[in-house]
Amino acid sequence: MNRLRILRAGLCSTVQDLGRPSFRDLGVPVGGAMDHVSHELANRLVGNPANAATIENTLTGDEIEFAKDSLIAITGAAMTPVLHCTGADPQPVAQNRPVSIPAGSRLCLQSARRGCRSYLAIAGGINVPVVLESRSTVLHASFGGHQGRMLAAGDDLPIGVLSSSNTEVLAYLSTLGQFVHPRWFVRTMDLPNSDVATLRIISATHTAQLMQSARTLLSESEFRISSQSDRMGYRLVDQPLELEQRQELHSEGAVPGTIQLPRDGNPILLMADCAPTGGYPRIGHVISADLSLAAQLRPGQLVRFQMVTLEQAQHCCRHQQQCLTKALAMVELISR
Amino acid sequence: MNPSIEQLGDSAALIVWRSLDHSAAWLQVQNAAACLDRNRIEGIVATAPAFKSLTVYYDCQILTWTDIVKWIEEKLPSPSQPFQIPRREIEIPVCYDEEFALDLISVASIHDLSPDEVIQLLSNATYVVQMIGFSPGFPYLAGLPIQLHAPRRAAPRIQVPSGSVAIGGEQAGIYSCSTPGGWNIVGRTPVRLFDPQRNPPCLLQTGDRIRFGRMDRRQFDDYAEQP
Repeated sequence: MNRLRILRAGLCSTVQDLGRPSFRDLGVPVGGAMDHVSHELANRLVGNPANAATIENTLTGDEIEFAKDSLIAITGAAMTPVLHCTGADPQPVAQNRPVSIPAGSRLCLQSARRGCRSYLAIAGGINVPVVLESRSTVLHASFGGHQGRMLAAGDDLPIGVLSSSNTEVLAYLSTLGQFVHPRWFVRTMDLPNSDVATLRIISATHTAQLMQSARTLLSESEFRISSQSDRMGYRLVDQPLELEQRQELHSEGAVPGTIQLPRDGNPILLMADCAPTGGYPRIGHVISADLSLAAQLRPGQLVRFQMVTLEQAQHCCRHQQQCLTKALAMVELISR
Repeated sequence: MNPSIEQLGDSAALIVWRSLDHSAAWLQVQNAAACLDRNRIEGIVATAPAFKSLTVYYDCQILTWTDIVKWIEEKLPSPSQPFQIPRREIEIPVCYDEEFALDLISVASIHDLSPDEVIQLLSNATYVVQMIGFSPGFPYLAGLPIQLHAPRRAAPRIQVPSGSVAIGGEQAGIYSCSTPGGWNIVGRTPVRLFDPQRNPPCLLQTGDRIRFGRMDRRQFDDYAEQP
């Protein structure tokens, strides 16, 4: 069986797929890739199904050794990947396209120049055991992924068996000659730069209970993503918000994208690994179509919120999937 | 009384019985969860009951808000429909060794009790699992004697060991995973509440009746060593 070895691990590298949407009644988070769009794109570029497991790198990337000839794609944050092959000069690896990697070579991902999270898909998928219908790592509950934890130097990850769509992509790349990747690439989402990012939100149960001044702040001011931010959620600071009345709530449902308001007034934007319930007032929800963008924001970055309707949010969600589907149909046309 | 149906982001609906008291709302939640689960349609991803509310997660590529509200209203049982919650009785052995019972003395001092009196009160009560949430397999337990109610700690602990039996306000709970937590820890059980390799993964389910048994340190260590 093919394997890859982690020689050096980035800040928070985990195995992720599309998560566990159907175990929320057990308190299990949805989890999965923070940036679904980049995760799915990476998979489809190498001919994997959307739900195959990839490696999610956060802010800094891994150094990986490939035991055999492999087919990979790197998407999401720009991590300046470099390939070291025996007997050749190191060469930069382009992102957002399929790349064939010779056996024995080392791939180095560096610090993210832009964006926060990159996804490395490999033909066949990372074949760690399926736990509760998914290969995603749940860090705080220590299960799934590779031994329920972040990747570390020395870890060997098994690779799944290639399917016919994987070998079609490989056959296409071999027609390009020695060059390991095509000139074309696919980009379905612009990575955030250092400017203020805009996330679209829809109203939530307690939005109307914000003080008038807080409602204005929510829609007009900028919030800073604090360094206390991870896969469970982002703390948003600099603009504390107040409710007209403080209330004690029973725990109610929460979803990735929910903006909670704890007592100190600094909102928390819940992300992929959030608990399925929460006891804080909900003052908004980032729309599903903007969660991938949110996943690419870094601590320290500024965000503002733009209110849209539920209908617009659901339209954006369908539109995002259609764009991805269209782009991938083009890829298939070229590469198979 | 009809619940309100609120949007929870663009891919979930929250059905909530806000004006009912705690126990009446809880019964409606259990009844609705069972009923909606039996009548799932394509595009319904999951349901998750909480204390006074039920969340329905849906795929907005397949269902619109109008679809989901219509489905809920059609399938929601009438409030008067009789409903039996399947009840199981489960004993959870707890060790109150001082290494585990980090806040036993402070809980006792709130009510002028001795640690042993706290353990007696905890052991004599019967608890009902109100919901599973917070972290995988964490049971929120109703039925804590009023003499043991204790406010959450001002500063949460960064890591509460898995198996910790804890008091948060008027509720009891058991930390099923090692997580940060602000509840008062009074003991520890060696029983695994959540094991993703087991089917079902959660030992407890909503509606279960729980009693705390008592075990000494040696029994705890023996139990914990079992494969």
